[in-house]
Amino acid sequence: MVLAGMAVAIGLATLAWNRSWSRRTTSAHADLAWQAQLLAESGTACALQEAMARAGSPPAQTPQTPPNSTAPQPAQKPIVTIRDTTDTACVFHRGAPGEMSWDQPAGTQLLTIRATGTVLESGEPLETTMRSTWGGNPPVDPFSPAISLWDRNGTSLNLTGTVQGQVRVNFATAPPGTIKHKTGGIDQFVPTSIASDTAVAVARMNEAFRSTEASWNGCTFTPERPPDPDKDSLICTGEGATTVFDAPWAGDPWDAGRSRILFAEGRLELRGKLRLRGWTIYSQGTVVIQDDAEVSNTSIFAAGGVRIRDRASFSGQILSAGTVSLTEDARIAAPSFVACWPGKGRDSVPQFVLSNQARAEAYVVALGANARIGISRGARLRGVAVSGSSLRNEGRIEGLAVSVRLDCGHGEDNCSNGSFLRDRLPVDFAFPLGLPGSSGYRLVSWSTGE
Amino acid sequence: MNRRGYTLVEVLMALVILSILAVPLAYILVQSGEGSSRARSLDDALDLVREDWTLCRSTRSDSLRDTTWDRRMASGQWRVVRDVFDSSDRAAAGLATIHAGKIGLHPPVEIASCATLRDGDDWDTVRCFKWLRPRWSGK
Repeated sequence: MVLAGMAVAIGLATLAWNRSWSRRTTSAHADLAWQAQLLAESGTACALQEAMARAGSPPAQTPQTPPNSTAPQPAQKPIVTIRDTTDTACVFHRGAPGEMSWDQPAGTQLLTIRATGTVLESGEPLETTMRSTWGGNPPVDPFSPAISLWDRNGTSLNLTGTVQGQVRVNFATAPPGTIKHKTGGIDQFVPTSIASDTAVAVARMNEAFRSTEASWNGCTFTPERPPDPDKDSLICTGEGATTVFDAPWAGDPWDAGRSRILFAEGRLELRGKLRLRGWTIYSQGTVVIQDDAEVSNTSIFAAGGVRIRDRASFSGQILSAGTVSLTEDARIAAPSFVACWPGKGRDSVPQFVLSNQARAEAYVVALGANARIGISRGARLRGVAVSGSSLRNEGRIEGLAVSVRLDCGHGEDNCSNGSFLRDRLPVDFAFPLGLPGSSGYRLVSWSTGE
Repeated sequence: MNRRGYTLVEVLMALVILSILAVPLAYILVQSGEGSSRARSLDDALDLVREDWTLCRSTRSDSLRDTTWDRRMASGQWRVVRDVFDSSDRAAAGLATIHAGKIGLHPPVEIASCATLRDGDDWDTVRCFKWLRPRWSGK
């Protein structure tokens, strides 16, 4: 009986010992996981710091420049100006508790950052990845009306559709029912850093296409031939070549894997039931997203325009030389930013077009003397539409329309039969980071994962 | 039923076995207590530094300063020591001054926060965490 009692006592003690030490292991793991998350957050801070430096670089236009010539001038703009520091921008001066890394942001308007923190746990790496999207905090007043027009030669305004909200104009005389702008110009709606974003993208593309890592004559990826899992960036060269992500038309969607940086020297096609999340895409040619492709949290820089069609959807950031068009049931989901400016060749006109039943929830900027935003009947834009020249709304704008003039296809001066509903702009709408007068940054969304 | 008392030999044998087994038993119990105590300390240290991290997040980055604050908990008297790599540290390291109003690429703010536990007259550092926080470059 004594022995049995002793055996029970030892058993209980061993159980307590085991539980207490495994609890200690759990606590130590929680500590390391937290430090890894702090490192991922630190990497995010580094990426954000770089983006803010770009957003704070000299504006693309001087205030005297006419509003309808707001095209970016990449060649003349500094990329990043380091004036105040002589040390490396991102470093722990008192010993790093681990390692951090982050993807270089492709554009700085809606800043999507993927950063990683790594610490060692019993000699093995413990990694945490943080994804975050950041927007800006612009001054409220310029964004309060439903329609904001900047046509100095305007004399009349004929709005036959529903208008909910204030209409501000800078006509010589404000038509009845409108208010004259007191200050500012259309430039206050155009992020200053688009030019430096463009310069950064072009420089990165040129560097990538000269790299020895490049695959000649485009690339074709399928579920059977997915991207190399060991490569963080895919470089597909050949000016006439087409890079294709060819997912099946039916069955389960094909997830093309973890986020990567893709450089395509020719046209890029994303088709079938494809899923891409968190990628950064640089393309010298046209980017086509079609069928049932779902491209989310992605940054696209396209030197040949972007076409989204069928039932395809996109969210993230598009910087495009040339036309961005959505047709059929295509979607752009929030948070998103789209900017287009004059390009070369086909689809070179800086226009943003929503046709058929297309929907977009985004901050849209079309720059240049022939810039145009077109919203067809049945289509809807929720957000802010900024056109450096004309805006034609036959559908529905839920938010703010900013343009030099409104066009309705009759040659008549400033007219529209579409709906303008300012109150429908969501209160948490994500504004771009680089707007003039922006008073800081705002976290739009974030997620972490080990 | 045949009942009899334990013999002296049986009792002595039981005491001998008890004394032999008491050694590992005591060791296991002491180690269990230490493991639990250590785990509780790590948990408390993490909670305190998380609280300090939250305080930092609610403070403008250019207003962050070296700070010390105390907290009494079941595991003992704690002190959180926050060390911000500020302008004097930069000067001491021979790094250029940061001008907040100027445009350019600024380094983020470097913060180290340590949870220390009182041990007599000393403070034992249980855990230290470090992170960077962005600073707005101004426009």
